[in-house]
Amino acid sequence: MNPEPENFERLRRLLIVKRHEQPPPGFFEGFSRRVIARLEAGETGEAARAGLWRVLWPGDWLGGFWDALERRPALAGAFGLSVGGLLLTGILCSVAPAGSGNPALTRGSLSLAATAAAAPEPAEPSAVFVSSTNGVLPAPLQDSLFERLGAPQAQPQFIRVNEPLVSQ
Amino acid sequence: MIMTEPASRKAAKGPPEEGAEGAGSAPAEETELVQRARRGDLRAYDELVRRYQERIYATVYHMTSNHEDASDLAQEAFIKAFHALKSFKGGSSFYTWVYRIAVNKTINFLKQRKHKAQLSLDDLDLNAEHDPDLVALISEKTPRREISLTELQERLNVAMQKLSEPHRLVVTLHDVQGLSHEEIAKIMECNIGTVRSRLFYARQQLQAYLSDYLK
Repeated sequence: MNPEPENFERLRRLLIVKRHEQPPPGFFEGFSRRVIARLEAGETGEAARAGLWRVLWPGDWLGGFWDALERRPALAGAFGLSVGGLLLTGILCSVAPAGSGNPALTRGSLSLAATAAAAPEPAEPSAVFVSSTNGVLPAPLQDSLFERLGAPQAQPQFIRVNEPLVSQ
Repeated sequence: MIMTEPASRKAAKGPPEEGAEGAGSAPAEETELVQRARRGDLRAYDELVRRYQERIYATVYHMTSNHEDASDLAQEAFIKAFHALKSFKGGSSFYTWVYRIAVNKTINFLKQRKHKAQLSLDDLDLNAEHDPDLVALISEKTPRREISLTELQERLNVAMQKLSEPHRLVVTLHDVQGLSHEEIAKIMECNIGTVRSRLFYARQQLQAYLSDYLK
């Protein structure tokens, strides 16, 4: 490529306009003073990051990592996927701990949904699915609500309201 | 006042001459100032800042077309240079070295800037209306002869912002600031052939963007 034949003379004359641009009057009079003041304040010359991020994570390595994420969408995507995967794994582990055997919880978990579908229904329906409109009474439930009502510590106080008042 | 030629400082006038670099060729006074600044003498560093503030600001300004960004970046470049003075070995002049810091800082800033910032242009000085080249350019009988200087300035800056950072930088350093190819190569840390080819390509692009004004 030979740049010589191209004539950029008019363009160069046009670019002269740029040489006449100047900052507001007095700008340079205080410039070095501002630099020295910032040096005395302990600044290092690194650009200020977005406010909250800088307050929460002032470390340079984390800032660099954040910058890398901003510059590389693929890296940001991979990071997002890994964080999402970790989050999902954490949720599954917390919802269905190994060996819990609780059918209600098992139904609610995603990973064991297929297993639950393949397994035979439990002989005793879970209390969660008992409907008051069901004409067929289910077999007595273990640890049912009625049993709980019978327990003294579970006796609600408002039931006594319907009893005849002795004082009257 | 023309920003590329600091009026008040004799030492800062004009771009460094070609081949004027090297440890032994730096002015003794400047070497002394650098050594004092390296020992933490802020008064010495203040003097160094005053010498080069206008050209550093101008370069950053022409790269960003934004006064506020240029002001911040130029200050940060000088602050960073002060903290890095211990690593300055004197292989190049202090001017070239601090220039490189400012340029790298500006390019990093522009890469991180998500979108084009609004132009915040400096005013043109009064001399612009009397510059013979500009007078000739504007008064010529072209389809755009009614153009005002301000409009021309804005269109020029918009066109500059369309260039990639390396191309904008080489046009700024050479055509606006008047640095030599060799000096630009040292600042950009590339060879002279790269500078020439980038300059050629950048001018071609600018010429296309500004074709209305160059007929």
